[in-house]
Amino acid sequence: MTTTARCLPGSIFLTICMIWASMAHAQNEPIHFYLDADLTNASTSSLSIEQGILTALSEVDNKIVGRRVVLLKRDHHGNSRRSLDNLKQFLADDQALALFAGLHSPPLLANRTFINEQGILLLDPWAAAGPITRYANGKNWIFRLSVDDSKAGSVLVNHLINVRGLKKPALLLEQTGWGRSNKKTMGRALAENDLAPTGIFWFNWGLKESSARILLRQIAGTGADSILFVGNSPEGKIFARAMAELSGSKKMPIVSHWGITGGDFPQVIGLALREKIDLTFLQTSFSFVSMPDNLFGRQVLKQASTVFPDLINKATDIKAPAGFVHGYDLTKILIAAVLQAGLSGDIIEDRENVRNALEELKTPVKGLIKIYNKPFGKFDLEHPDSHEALSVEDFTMARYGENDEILLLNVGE
Amino acid sequence: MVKASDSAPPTEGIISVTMALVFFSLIVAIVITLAVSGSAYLGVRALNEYEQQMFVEHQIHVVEKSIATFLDHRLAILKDYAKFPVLKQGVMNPESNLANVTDFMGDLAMLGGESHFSLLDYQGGLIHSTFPDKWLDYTYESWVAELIAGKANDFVSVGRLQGHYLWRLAVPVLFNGMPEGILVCEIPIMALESDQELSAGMGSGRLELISGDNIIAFFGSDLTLPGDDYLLGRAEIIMRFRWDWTEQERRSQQLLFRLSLIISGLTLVGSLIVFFLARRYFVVPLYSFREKTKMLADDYAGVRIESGQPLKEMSLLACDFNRMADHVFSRDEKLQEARDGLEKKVRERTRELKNELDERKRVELELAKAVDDAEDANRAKSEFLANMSHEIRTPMNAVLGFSDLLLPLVSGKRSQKYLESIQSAGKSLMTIINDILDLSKIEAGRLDLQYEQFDLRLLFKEIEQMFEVALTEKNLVLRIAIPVDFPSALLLDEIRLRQILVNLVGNAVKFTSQGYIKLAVSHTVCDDPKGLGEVKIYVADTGMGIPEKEQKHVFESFRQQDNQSTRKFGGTGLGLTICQRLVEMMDGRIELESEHGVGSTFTVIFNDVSLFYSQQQRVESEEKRNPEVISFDPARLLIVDDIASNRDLVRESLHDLPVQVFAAVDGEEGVAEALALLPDLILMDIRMPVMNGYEATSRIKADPRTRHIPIVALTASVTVLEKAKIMDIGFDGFLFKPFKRNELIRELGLHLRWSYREGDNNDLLLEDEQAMTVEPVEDLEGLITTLEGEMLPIWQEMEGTVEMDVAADFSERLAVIAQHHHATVLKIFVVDLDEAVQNFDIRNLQTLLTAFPSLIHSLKG
Repeated sequence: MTTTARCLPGSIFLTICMIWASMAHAQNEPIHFYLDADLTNASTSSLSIEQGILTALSEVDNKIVGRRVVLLKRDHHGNSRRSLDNLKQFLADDQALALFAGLHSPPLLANRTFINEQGILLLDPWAAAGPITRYANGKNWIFRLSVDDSKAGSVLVNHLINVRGLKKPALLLEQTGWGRSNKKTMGRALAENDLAPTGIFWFNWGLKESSARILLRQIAGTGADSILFVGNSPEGKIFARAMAELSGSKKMPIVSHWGITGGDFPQVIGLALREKIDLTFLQTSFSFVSMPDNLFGRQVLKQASTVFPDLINKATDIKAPAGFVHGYDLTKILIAAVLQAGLSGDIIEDRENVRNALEELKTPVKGLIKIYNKPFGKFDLEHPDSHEALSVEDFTMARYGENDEILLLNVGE
Repeated sequence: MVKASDSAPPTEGIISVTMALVFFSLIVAIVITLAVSGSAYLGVRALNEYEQQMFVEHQIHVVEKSIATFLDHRLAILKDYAKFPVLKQGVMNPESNLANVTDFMGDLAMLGGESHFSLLDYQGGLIHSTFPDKWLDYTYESWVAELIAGKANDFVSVGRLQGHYLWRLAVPVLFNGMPEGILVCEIPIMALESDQELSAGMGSGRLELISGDNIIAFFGSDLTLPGDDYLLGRAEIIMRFRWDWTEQERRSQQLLFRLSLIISGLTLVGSLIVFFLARRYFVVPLYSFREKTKMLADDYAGVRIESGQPLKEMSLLACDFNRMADHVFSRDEKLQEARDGLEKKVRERTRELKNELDERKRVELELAKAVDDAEDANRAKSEFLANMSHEIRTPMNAVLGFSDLLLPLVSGKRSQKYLESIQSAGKSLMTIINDILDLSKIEAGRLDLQYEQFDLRLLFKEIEQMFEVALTEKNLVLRIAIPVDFPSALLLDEIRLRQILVNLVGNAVKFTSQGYIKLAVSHTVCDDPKGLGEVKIYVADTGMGIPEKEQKHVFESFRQQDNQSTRKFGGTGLGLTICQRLVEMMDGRIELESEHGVGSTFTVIFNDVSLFYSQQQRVESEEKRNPEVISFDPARLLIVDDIASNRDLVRESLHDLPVQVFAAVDGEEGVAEALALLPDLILMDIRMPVMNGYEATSRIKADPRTRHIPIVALTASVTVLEKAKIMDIGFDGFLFKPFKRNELIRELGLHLRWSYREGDNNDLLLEDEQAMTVEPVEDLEGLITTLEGEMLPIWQEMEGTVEMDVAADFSERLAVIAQHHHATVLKIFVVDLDEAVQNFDIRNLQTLLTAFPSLIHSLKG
């Protein structure tokens, strides 16, 4: 008893010392941001996101609250099981603060419960499936700055009906959770305009051009005057080529979700081929190319070219620009949240604090798309868009220009 | 005649031909039977084994092929299934596609029975399986990793599920060419048993497929016989093959037994036929022949055999026998006659031989006596000659001695001339007599050799002094060359060697009108602890030479060259004979090399001469060429070297010697300078630009005007080969670079004329030498001007008619000039001139005066 009493102050002192030492140690080590995306099949979008993140980080010298930031990349191939493995790696890393997702929605949908239960601070600059940010079974850890399918459907349908004056669209959707969620939102948007699709057509990843032609003929057979398309770049290219080869009467305008911009679509489907089809697609409302007079845009582009002197010299050098723009804006918001929350050195605590700071961001953040004033809030079923940084006003339609660049339709038209 | 015992018929111990035939036939029959049966047995066995092996191999092949085909078919189907997009979506996003995957997989089917399909994610985790048991787990299987890593395109193994063995086939599900999941199909092993090809053809055999230690399947009958194991390439399956061979072997043995029986019977019959035929045609006639032969042996004349025999060979034998019987009788008679004649002939021949032998012995005795007589006579002649010579010499000494004494007493020029003639004739006579005496002594065996140690260097010096006057008279040079490492002493008869050398050098001087005479020595040390060695002494001249046909006669007594004018050259013709005899007495030999008109070289060679090296003596002999001890005569030296510092070194080393140093920078210039300067010695570098030392030396030695000039090689090379080459080319010596001053001077001493400082009691010379070593010539141009302006005209007046007074005056004036200019060369010339004047040595005086212009020339350099 006496011995314990005598030793106690010493023990406490030692413990405090050790904690302090370990925290001091932690203060010196870099914090890790992860990018878990498809670096193999959708490398263009991944690269674009990476460039946006790194450009934003370079503006703060790659340091937040005195700690260096390192971006670690993980490739999930679009495979949700591989993505799950990467998420586990993130959890095992006690310097890992936040994880940026990539273009694919399915891995996020498949692992959504895991992410939220394990408390992975996940930032989504691209994947558009509606349910991703709408987790109601506990704390919601996923924040998005991108297109939201639950609104995209209405934007596409609005463009189709009000801008293009088309009334009989067919739905062409990929056979995934993303495609299925769009079936709902688009169907609802059409219904709101008292319309219904002439048909709903599904395709799997990796389909062949022959299958694509059969599908397009079937669609034409339904009497459709247009196609509402939900898919990614690989399948988008297949359908674009198939459409270009169809005879004139069967050709239909394609109003596409923005998934096709995630790869090398304009390089593979060149100008000559694009002139044979009528293709418009969804984008968020900022473009380096379409807004050359935007001062802030020019500054960011200049900064990007200093970070990537070999890759980026002019606006058109940024391929799949949405990734860059969203990645940049989202990173700026994240930096502001970290600055607001501070870093304790205990990673679990820090993730929690930053997540909370994101929901209650006190300072406005200047981004490329807009100035973000309280971009996120507390999520519940009554506030389903609290984890969405963008709203319908931030979406627009676009097409490819002569130099493979993305041109926003509401600007300059 | 034939002895009776040989002709007695054998009564026992020998088997008759009939018996032999019977035995032979039987043995042949047995051997053939055994051989054929044996080989047939072995053949059948080998065939059996071969057949079994072929059968087994065939079966293995069939099984392997069947199983491979079985598996390949199913793998191909499985791979096709794996290409369906729904499965691709399934592995990429299992959760959202599970319903589609489940539907799709429920419709899948595989050939041959109830199969199950499972879809695995990229880590082997189960996405969906058609097998009811949901506990399947492939997470830790190594093949999962291999398929996902792309190291394999498919996988086959044998597994066990709920007590049943099954084939497990797995293929990767590719998305964009990358393995993202695995499709597994599990087929019961029994599906294989339904394969028709496998089950058929097993007959009484049994094939088992074994995985691990378990029999997973078998085909054919229920056998437990031991079997052979073979590894099936796929899925690490062992095939055990069991086969009952007993029935097959029984049948082969039966066949073999019948075959043996038939062969035995056939062979026996064949043998009997051979036996009877042989007896009828061979044995019976043979007995009849034997009877007739016996009669012939018993001297029964007129024996005959019927020649009509059934066998051709037998008929021929009968004919030959009849002819033989006729010959035997006629030959006996002739033989007796020949024997009688031969005995008579032998007796006659023996008698003749005896007579011839006696005659030869007598002749030999006579011959030996004649030789003895001749030898006696020759010895007597030599004895007589030796005695006679001695007797003649005694009065001749008196004649010469008294004429010597008389000479100063006679004043009349005429009388003096007579007296000189007497002296001259007397000396000639003495020479002849001495020669004859020597030769006689040698031939009479009365000459004794006295071996003692002596220094050859001193002997050479002595000879040089001996011929100095003669050489000067003929304006010849005697070059002496003794290697530095030549032993300090030899063990030979010095007196006789001197006699030999005097003779040879004397001849050389006598027969050389211009050029030089070289006296040289070399030695080779034998590999001998006693210090024996071979010594060669060369006497070479540039004289008239000896024609080749004369060369073999020069050593004969009283022999002179046919065209040799006795009046001009004199001599007894005994000199070389004596030389040869003396050399031979010392176990040596003498060789001659000569070319008519070019010169001659006599080489005296002594084998096994004891050589002595005395350290003290060696040092002494080296010191003798040290400039502190000796003084060089004035000489001109040409150094040919491309490196300036080397040339300067030589010049510097010799600055205090009366040696004028000239220089050339390469071989070509060296050759030109040698011809222009005619120096006394050339030092030649070997490696030079433009023309190297070998080439330059060859050219100098090839030119008759310069070939007498000794050339010393300067070389840094020390290899034996290089040394040999240097000597071959015609160099007279060599110095290794870098050389010391002493070495240079020692080498100079071998080629230039010099004298000892001590013992030379000429004060003037000593004084001059000191002056010479201190100061070079002063005002050389002034000296030459004086000599050419003042002295040359006087000299021109003097030429032809030499008056002693005028010569003395000339010499005095020169001495003053020499002293004034410290001109050593001139001083030496004056000393020589003075000597000749004081001795009234007119010939020498003339020689010296003749050389005066060339002296001036040499001063000019």
